[in-house]
Formats: sequence, C-alpha cells, structure tokens
Amino acid sequence: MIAWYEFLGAGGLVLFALFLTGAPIFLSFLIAILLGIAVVIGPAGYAMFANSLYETTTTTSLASIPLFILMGELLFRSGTIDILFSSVDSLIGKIRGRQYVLVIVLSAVFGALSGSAMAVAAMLGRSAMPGIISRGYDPKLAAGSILAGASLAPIIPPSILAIIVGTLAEVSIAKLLIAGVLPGLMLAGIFLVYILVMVRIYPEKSPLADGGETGGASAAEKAMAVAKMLPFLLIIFMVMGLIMLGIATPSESAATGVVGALLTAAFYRKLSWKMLFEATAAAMAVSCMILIIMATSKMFTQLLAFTGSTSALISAVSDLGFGPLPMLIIMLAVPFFLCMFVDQIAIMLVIIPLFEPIMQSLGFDPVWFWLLFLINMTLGGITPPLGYTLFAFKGVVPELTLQQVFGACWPFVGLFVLGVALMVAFPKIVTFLPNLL
Amino acid sequence: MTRPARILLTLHDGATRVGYLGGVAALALVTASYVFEVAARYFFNAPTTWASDLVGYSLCAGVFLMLPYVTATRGHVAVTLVIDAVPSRFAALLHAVINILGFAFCLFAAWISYSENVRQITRGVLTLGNDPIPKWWVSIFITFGLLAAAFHFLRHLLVREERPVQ
Repeated sequence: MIAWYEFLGAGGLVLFALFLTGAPIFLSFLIAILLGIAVVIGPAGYAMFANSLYETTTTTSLASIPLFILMGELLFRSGTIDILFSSVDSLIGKIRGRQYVLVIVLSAVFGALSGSAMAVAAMLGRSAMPGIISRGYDPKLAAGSILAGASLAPIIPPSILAIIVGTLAEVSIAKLLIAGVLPGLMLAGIFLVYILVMVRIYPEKSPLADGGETGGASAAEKAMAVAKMLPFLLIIFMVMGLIMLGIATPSESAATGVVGALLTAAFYRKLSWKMLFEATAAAMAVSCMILIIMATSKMFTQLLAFTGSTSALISAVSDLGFGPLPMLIIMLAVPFFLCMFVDQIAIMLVIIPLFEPIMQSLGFDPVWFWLLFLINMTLGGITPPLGYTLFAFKGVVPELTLQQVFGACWPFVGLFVLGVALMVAFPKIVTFLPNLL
Repeated sequence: MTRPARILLTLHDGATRVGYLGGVAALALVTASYVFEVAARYFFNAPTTWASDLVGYSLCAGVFLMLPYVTATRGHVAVTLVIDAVPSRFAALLHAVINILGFAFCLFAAWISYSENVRQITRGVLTLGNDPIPKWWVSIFITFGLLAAAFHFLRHLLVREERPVQ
C-alpha cells in the first residue's frame, strides 16, 4: 500500500505538472485519477471510476449550474441587461466619481442576476469602460472598480462557485447562497467608501464636468427608471425569494429564474427563438466544461480515503498545535496563493476534500467557513498574475495594458482582505441570513 | 484523404452535431421539469415522482452529449500561462503531447464506461430513482461522450483544420 504522503506528493506533482503544460483541466484530472486508481486500488477501481462519473453528473443540485448560467445568458444575449444599465444610470445623481459609483452599483445589481464574475467584468468592460475613459476618468481606478465589482457576482446569489463549494463540502447550498447576500453588499459598500475617499483626496481622478452630462435625470425619468427595473426584481424574487420562502430548492429556483429571465425578455420584446437556442447552447457548453471537471475529479476524495490521507492529514494538522485563528489564516491563504496560478475550480476540487475534515476538527461553522473560502477563491480571479476575471476584462478593453490592469487590482484586493477580516471578526455578517432559513 | 477516412470524419462530425443538439434539448428538459415540479407542488399540491429523476438523467446526458462539441472547439478550461509563453515549436510539441494523452486517456475511460454499460445490461442494473429505469439508458451517454471526445483529440493531432461542427 502506498503511503498517504507519497500519494499526496506524487499525485499533486503529476496534477500540477499537467495543469502547467496547458492540458485541459478535466484531462489532467482524468489522467491523474486513472493513474491513481491503477497504483492505489488496481483494475477493480475502474468500475468505481465509471460510477463516479455517473454519480456526479446525475447530482440534481448541480443542475443549478447550467440553469443559473442560462439565466445570465438570456439576460445578456437578449439585451435586456442594457435596460437595467440605463435605469441604474438614471438613478445615480450628481456626485463626484459618478462613473466609479455607477459601475459598483451596477456590479452589485448584475451580481444578483448572474453568477459569473467573468461575464460581468466583460459586460461592464465593453459597455462602461469606453465612456469612462472618454470622460477623462482615471482608467486604473475605473478598471479596479469594475473588476472588484464583478467579483461580487460569485458572492451575491446566484453563484456558481457557491453551488460547487456546497456540493463538494456537503453544506446546504441554500444557506451558502443566502449567506453571500450581506457580505456581498458590505464589500460593495467598502468599495464605494474607498472610491469616494479617493476622489476626495485626488480630485483629478474624477472630472468635474461629469454628473451634469448624465446625472441630472428628472423625477419623472427616475420614476420611469424604477418602473423599468421592476421585471428584474421579479427575477431576483424568483431566485432568492423562493429559496427564502421555502417554496423552491436552489436548483428549482434556478429554473424559475430562467422563466423570470424569459418573461423579462418577452416583456421588452427581445425574445426570439434564435437567441433562446444560442443562449441554451452556450449555457450547456459552459456547464459541460465545469461539470466534466467535477466528474473526472470526484474519485480524488475516494482515493484520499483509500490511502488514509484524510485521517493522516487531520492528525498531522492537530500535531501542529496551532489555534483556530492561525489555522483559519493558513487555510484561507493557501487557496488565495494557488489561485494566482491555477484555475479556481481545479483548486477547489483538490482543496475542499482536504480542508473539509480539518475544518470539522477545528469546529468552524461550515457556512461561515466555506463562504470565507468562496470569497477567497473569487478574489483569486482578480489577483495577478493569473486571474481569469482579469483576462476576461483585458480581452474587451484593449486600450489598457496588462500591467495597468494588474496595478488597478491591488488596492481592491486589499479591500477584499479587509472585508474578510471583518467577516472573521463579526461572523454574524455571514451567518445572520442563513440562520433565518 | 481517402474516401473511407472522409466518411469516418463525416460520421464523427455528425455524431458531434447530434450531441450538441441533444445537449441543448437536455438543458431545456431540465428547465421544464423543475418548473413543472414547482408549479405542480405549489399550486396544485401534487408533487411529481419523476421530475427530480429526469433532471438527473438529463443533466448526465446533456454534459456528455455536449462533451464532443466542447472538445472539437477546444473549449475546455486550461491553464495556458506556460504554453503561451514558450517558443512556438515547443508549444506545438506540448499541444501534440496533450492531444496524444487526451486520445489515449479518453479512449481508456470510454472503454471503462463501456465495460460498465455491458455489466449493467447483463445484470439488469436499475437506477436508484423513484421510478427506476435501466441504468445503462443514462450511462451510455458517458461512453458516447468520452469516445467521441477521444477521436477529437486524435483529429487535433493528425488533421490541421478548422472544423465547423454546428
């Protein structure tokens, strides 16, 4: 029998070497797991592997991944999201740094309609960034605002990452989704305060002329803007409202959210068969990429148990003698640094089965811990040098160099860390809403 | 290219196209099943026994039906930091190695899945749902997806072409 540290060392080395060669993540897992089975279990384990593919892809809670993606696709592809954009724009008054505030508020609203940071970053980069630059705003502060704001999408429900974390860690997905509401809003508030302080200290970052251009909507225009936003509130209700009221499970609420998105598109006469087909196909293709990774990596947990790695790791951590707070810092720092170099989902699939027993032995509240973990993973998406949200944004904003985009992120990374510190100091920020369920 | 090879490629493209459309249909079925379940349970107090099972089966079928298309279009998530930075000749070599590994391991996984399909058929294994059905009706999609994906890796290795599959 192979020793647990040999399995973890050799397995980890093979896996990360494959990641770095540019092999598809699912293929890296497939190779590592099949080799792992051959070494640890032998040919008898191959039937277990076939069953693990079946079990993962028939897990109904994971159906919310394609459904939430479909909901976002319908809103983005139909163009109804543009109506929301202009409505929020009308509602923000004349304030210094108006465009920065606009993108943060829009990000929080989009976050409640889409679970993907990359989608929101690309959408705001494409639609808001050219106007921001042409009005003379600071491109770096604007880029940072968009990237930080977009990172709220996986925290504020619906959240694809929350579903993956909840499924892997066996935590209530409904609670994990709802737990993201207050932290997401708090982080948006921290970003707004930072921006308002920055434009106060450095007035050159916000041209005085702005606000007069688009910020002076009349009361009637503002009332119309609110009316136009009502169908979007219906979608939010059909997702979060139905979960909170106990009417639908998270997966079912994702399906009702899709219906809400369809009704909204139909209401604004932007629904067509072509758009519907393209949105469904795109959502299924993206979901296939995510779920095939989850399916091929599922056996990792079983191999950990088979080699005795799980129990050995817990006793090794216990022997370190660290208290809960230093352990929490280590457990949050590890994925944060790994996410700078390797894909978020791949990291989660490796780390969650390792962290789950350690987290339990330390006695942490599972919803609180996994939400902090999720925020950390999200943060990895905007932390240089390898953050997928960074690259999605850079792809639609060619006028900024990668160095400028990298530089734009660091202050907001710091603000995220501040937010996480507040959630560690005041756990109720995370646990208050889920405890109401 | 010889005629039999062209026929094989056309069949492979056809299978990928059918898988793509099947994947779209599967997601539509997932959505419809859940919406029906919520409406039946909440408005008519008559929850179904089949909706949850159908969602699970459709999700599995959808993922593996879409897999050949995602592989054909090189749509998989990958960490391309190194491969983008190395000289093009070395990058081409890495791509070739990845495609060989992709072909070999997807084919092997498809064989494992096929063996499991045969076992499920001969032993009459049923699903664990409320309304059980033969398990191979669902798991056969796993074999299809892995097998077709394996041959896309092979085609990436051998055939330098941009292949429309939609």
